[in-house]
Amino acid sequence: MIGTIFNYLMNGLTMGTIYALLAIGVTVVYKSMGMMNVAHANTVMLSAFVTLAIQKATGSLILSCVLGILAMGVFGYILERFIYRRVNYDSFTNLMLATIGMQIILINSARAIWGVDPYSFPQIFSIRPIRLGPVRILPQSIGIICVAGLVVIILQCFYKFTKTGQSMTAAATSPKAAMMLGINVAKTRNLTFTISAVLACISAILVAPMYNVSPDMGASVGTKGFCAAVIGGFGSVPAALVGGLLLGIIESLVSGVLSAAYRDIIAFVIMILILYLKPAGLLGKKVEQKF
Amino acid sequence: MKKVLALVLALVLTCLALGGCGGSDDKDTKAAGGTKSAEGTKGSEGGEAASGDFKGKIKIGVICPKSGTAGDGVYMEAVCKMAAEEINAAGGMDGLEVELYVEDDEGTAQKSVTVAQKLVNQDGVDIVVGAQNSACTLANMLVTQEAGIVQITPGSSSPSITEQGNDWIFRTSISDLTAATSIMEYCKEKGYTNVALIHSSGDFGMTASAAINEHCGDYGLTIALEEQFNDDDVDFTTILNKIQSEEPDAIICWGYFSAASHICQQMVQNDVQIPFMGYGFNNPQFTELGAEYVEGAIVASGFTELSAATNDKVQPFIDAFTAYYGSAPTQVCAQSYDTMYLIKQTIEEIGGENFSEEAFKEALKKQTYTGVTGEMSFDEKNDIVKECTLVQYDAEGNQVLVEW
Repeated sequence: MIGTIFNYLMNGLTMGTIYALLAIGVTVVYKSMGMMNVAHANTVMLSAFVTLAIQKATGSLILSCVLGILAMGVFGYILERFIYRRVNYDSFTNLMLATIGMQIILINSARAIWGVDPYSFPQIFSIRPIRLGPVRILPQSIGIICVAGLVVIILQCFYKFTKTGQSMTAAATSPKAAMMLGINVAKTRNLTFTISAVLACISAILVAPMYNVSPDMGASVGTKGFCAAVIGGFGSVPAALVGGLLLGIIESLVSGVLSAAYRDIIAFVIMILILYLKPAGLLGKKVEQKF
Repeated sequence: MKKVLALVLALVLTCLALGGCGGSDDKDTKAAGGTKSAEGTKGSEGGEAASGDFKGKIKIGVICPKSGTAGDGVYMEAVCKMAAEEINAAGGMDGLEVELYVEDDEGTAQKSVTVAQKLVNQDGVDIVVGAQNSACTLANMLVTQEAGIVQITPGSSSPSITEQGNDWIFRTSISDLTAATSIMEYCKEKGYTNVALIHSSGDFGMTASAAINEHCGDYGLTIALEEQFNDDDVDFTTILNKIQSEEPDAIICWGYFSAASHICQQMVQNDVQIPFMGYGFNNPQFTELGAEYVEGAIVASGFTELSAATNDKVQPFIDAFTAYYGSAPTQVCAQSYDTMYLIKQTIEEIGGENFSEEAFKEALKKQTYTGVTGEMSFDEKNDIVKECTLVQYDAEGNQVLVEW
């Protein structure tokens, strides 16, 4: 019994970390630019395809991961520099609409280029579980949790301790004041998108072996990532992490103890409850009207 | 600048509107009223000009899920196109040229109804082949019923489709009940008494679950555990953990290839060594995604390449389709192919120039046809009467007939 509950927790932690990674990707953009990037999950999908294509061409998984991350960084840079910059950054709605448009472009381009059938992504971690008595731990779980943890620590250090990171936070709080202080706001926005795309690629590499790569893979995982960000609260990386982990664990326990049919329901019920009781999210602070 | 832009946009919109309205007078006469009558609409309608020897056209609408989670509707599209080309090359259906109108319903009921309405009202099709998903067919068969057009589903397996009293819907796919009966009989033969039932939460899984629950007692089976999953779920460890604690003799799974391939992989990951069988994943994609993990899985099948040994239509079909599309045909493929040729046989019986929806429907009910999926006929509810086989996947992902 303890073993089963532990397995549910482990499973919940793994899925929760995945949701957290996606939530962090969305939060990074919101935090630095005040903009809601709806197309993040689709960027994850694109990253998965790009990495898979490189892997098929070169045969090496490690090389394809590295190249994939670099390629997606460039993609994020180009996206901001040439597309989103044309949209007025003062308008929240316009920016969100632009990302919705990007979402449609990404999905349909992927369908046109790679077709609608799912592809399998090579496993990075070993398939065989590690056994400790009745408890089963998948190397995949440990891998995902470690990588995600590393990502969060690096990001937090970046934002708190480096000059660039602090400039990015300043630019988000008040772009005009930041510009007056000599911070190149355009550059920080560019960097934000590049980081977000790199995060998307890292998420893709961790998630794709489980989800299979297809143009529609962004849908289910993206929605849960958004839920996680809402639950934790937009605006800080730790909040996204907490939201994701909480969502994953509760989902897993409920579907284990009650029934797997309730898995999706519970995610959205929690999100609605949080929106009702604490709209800023569990760790969020009340924010005055920003736009 | 803004004024110029507004003017240009207005011009573009006007052109689109005009272009859309023009040239469809013949469609108006078709859309009006329920049954299509034979006088003058079929035989003499401008068929001669472009297509050589044909006496007229027969418009067949195909509704399939080209995208979405069960997005293997591309197979159905490909095989219908291939069949149409073959039939047209051989002179058409009793002299009528086959014109296909393919629509993507994305596997959702709402889209399926929308495209059905488009096919019936705008394109004026004479016969509808589709949909693939049971949920979609249950929704869009009301459209064809109201318009008085015959609809044949080559892929929907839910028993409730033919239970609604709708005389216009025919099924050429084996139903869940046929597949479930075969599976349950196999379990009884093997001496299994306790089974775990996991199924998709959509119509496909739910109606199958109802049917299995109702009849399992007849085969001496009790359902130890029943769980639902969504078609796009990827994580089944919770379900598998539960199954392991119940320790059933077998797992019966009713779902599509995506979920099934994940389940098989996670069964190996979690060391669940229980016989796995079911329906809904008889598809080359199942082995492509599941790789070596599908070994030992048993699926009920309405079509298997192994029948080439006894049915000489099978191998030429497999070869032709593989050459045409690039991969082996699925069960729905084979059922759709047989559906096209069944339509041809029925039209030849009533005569191309005498085509009317009523005549076609009555003739179809009495047809017996032997195609690549074997011999088929219809019962009094327009449901198919056909045998179903069980196949098992071996270590290389090939199908082997199950002897029982």
